[in-house]
Amino acid sequence: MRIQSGSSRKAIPKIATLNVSKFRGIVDSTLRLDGKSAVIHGESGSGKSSFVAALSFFYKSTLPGFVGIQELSLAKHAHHVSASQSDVRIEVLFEGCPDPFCRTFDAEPQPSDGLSGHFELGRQCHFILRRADLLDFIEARPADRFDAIAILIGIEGLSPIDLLWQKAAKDSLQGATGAAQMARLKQQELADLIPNAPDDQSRLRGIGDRLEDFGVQRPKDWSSLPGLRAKVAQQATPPDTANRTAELAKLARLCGEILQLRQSVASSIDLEEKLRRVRAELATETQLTLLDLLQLAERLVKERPADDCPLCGSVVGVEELLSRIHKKKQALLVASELADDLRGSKAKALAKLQNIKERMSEVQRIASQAVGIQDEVLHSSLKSAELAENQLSPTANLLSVQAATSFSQTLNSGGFEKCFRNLETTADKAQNDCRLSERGQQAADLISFIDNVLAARERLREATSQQQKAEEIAAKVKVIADTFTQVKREEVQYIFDQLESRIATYYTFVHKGEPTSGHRLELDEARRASLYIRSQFHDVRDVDPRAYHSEGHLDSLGLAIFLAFAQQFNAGFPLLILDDVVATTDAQHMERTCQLLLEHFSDKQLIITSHDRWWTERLREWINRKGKSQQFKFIELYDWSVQFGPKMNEYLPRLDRVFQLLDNNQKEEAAGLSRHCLEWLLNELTIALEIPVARSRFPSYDLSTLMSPFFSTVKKHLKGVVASNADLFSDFESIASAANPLTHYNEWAQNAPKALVRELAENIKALQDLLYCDKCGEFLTYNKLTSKVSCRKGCKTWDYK
Amino acid sequence: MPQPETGTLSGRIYRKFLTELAARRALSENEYATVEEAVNAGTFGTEASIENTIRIIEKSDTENSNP
Repeated sequence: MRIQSGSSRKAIPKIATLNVSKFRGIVDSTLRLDGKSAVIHGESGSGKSSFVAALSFFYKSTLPGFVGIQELSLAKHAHHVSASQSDVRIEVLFEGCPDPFCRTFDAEPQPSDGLSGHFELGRQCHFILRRADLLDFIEARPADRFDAIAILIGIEGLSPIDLLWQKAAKDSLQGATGAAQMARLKQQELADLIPNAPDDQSRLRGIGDRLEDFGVQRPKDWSSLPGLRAKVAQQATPPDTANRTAELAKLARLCGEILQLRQSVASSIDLEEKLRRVRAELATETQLTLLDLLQLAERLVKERPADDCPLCGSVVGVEELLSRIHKKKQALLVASELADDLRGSKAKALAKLQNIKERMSEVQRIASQAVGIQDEVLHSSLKSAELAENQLSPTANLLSVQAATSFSQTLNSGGFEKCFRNLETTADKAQNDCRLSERGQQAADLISFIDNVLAARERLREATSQQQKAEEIAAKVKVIADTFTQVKREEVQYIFDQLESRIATYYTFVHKGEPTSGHRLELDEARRASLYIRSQFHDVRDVDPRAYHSEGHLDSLGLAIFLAFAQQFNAGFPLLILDDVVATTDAQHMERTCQLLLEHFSDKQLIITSHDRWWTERLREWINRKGKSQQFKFIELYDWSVQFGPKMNEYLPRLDRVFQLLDNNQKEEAAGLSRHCLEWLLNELTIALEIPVARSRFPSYDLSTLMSPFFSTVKKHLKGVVASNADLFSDFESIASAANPLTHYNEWAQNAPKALVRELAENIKALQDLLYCDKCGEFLTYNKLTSKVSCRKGCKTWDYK
Repeated sequence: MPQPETGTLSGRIYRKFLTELAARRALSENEYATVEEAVNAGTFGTEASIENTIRIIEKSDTENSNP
């Protein structure tokens, strides 16, 4: 579903006929809608939802009721039980189109350019609301609810983008953390050389102190140091000896430091154990990049119910497939956390590795220049360090650590230790061989000190520069990621806020003046994609509606949310189907729901199904009262069999149907139906007038149980009404007593005159008219406090004595 | 990745994101252009595109230039 700019909307095609063959419970049936809205009534199992499923299959290639249900699949179970997949055929004829569009399992409809947009909208938008969907949405976890809404508003593709940029921001931050750690190490190196000197000026003063002690002037700035170093060297005899001695001292010191550092570095860069833990959560390392694919697969499986895996084609139950995908996703989430840990460890290991590698490079240089040694172990160790360095860099494959492990082993090897011990010994020995004077030794020490400080200062400068760059990258990546997340959240919240007033309008339309309102769809600020529903219950704000609302109120809330989305996003799509979604609403709320649909969705072709006859009759009356009957078709699915599928008629209220049957000389059917009408009427009246009847184990009461208490109570307490309608009550009792044998004993019923059945039906209608208020749309009820029998608005009021 | 369609919610999010990103003045002209190009090409958010953006930031000498 996409928000359309809507400036050039074309004529919206409405359905004229829907023909369904060999699909679900339908053998071959045609719904004739003539572009009108339809109310389809039928008992459970009469085939209502099969028509809804047919439209879902026609537009969306899915069966909503099958999604996520184990072992149910479109391919195996969509066709009629006595037919095969190839027999399925759904034909939709639109108003104004000469030919119908056909959908089979092999072919999708081929719309012309003018209708392709309509079909695309039908594929994308959610125009069917089932009762199960309502409660599923309300009861869903916030993250699942957000996913459902994201699909509804067409931003499901943005979540992976959001996720990847946030991950990049996290990685960059870790890179900056590693660079900062490296800079701190370099700072410590400098601090070890010149203690208590936190900045460049104090360090220069520290060097100046040493030079002054030696008898050389203090440096003006750092650039004057090389010249002063040369002066120091000249103080030794010969000058080169001092330089060489300083280099040898440095060589010995570096070798000592390397031998000291190696074990700590070796343990830091050995990341095999951490990698093993990541791998333990993954079957293969490539799966780390499969999270998006799994999420896509999950959606595909839900949208395309079939018992074959869309990824590998193997046959597996949908539920099991979803369960497997869920497990994989969980494993990936755990792996992701472990991977974050591994990433952080790699950054720290890199800083330590570079620390020792720099020393090794310097050792290689001095050893070659000062003592003419080109050690093979040192050379290969440096190569190994370079490989490890590349592998530990943030841009390298996270799951590759072999080179680092290999270098760790090198550091721990006897050959490595031996190499540096030998070089240390050689440097010490060479220093002794120089046989410098005390003054010469002091000069050599000072030169070594100056060289070390300059080198350490340069390393600190580089590390600080790298830290700044890494922090700059991290900051910029974070800005990109956060801006995207924030804009997405704001825009989605904006949509929700827009919907809020619509949801409130629709909900309060149905529940006017009730203390449950203030519904809000709210994104969790702390979470990337979680949707909460908040409501007001009496004076308490921001409550979870599931905690306090009745099932009927939750139904209304779900309906209001769905209708708000449909109004906002389905603007160009005419069809709106409500499949048995008003089952738990009472008369008053039902009427308001109807009013809401008629007033706010008059441009839609509504298809409303209901198993509730009373509800359907009230709706029909209400539509007639509003003069909207020309906009609706009322269809009754009155029978269903596996051989013939649903049988349907134009819907008539039952009493009207009785008279129609009598006109068609179907006396026995008319007699049976009139008895059902009377039972239903007496049941409603005993409830409304609070007339006690003998308790029954079963929910239905027969005539003998209801008639006697009803008439005795009415005669006793509503004497005035009985008196003014004496003929009715007198006739009714005598006729109604015939109702039982009329319908129970076929022989009697066959022989009974048609006039008797008609008289019974007319009396039932008269009794209903007497005790029913058309304006209020309800039966009169008994009020104990006022001792009155009246309708809600008092249009009819009688004393109850 | 679909190219952001005009008139869709995701398209509007992309456009507002670019406007907001420019307003924050955190990226150089070149860096911003890289992001904008990825959005227009429909590749924004792919791993390759993210890596490319980071490479451009790495190479960039100027800081906090207003795009």
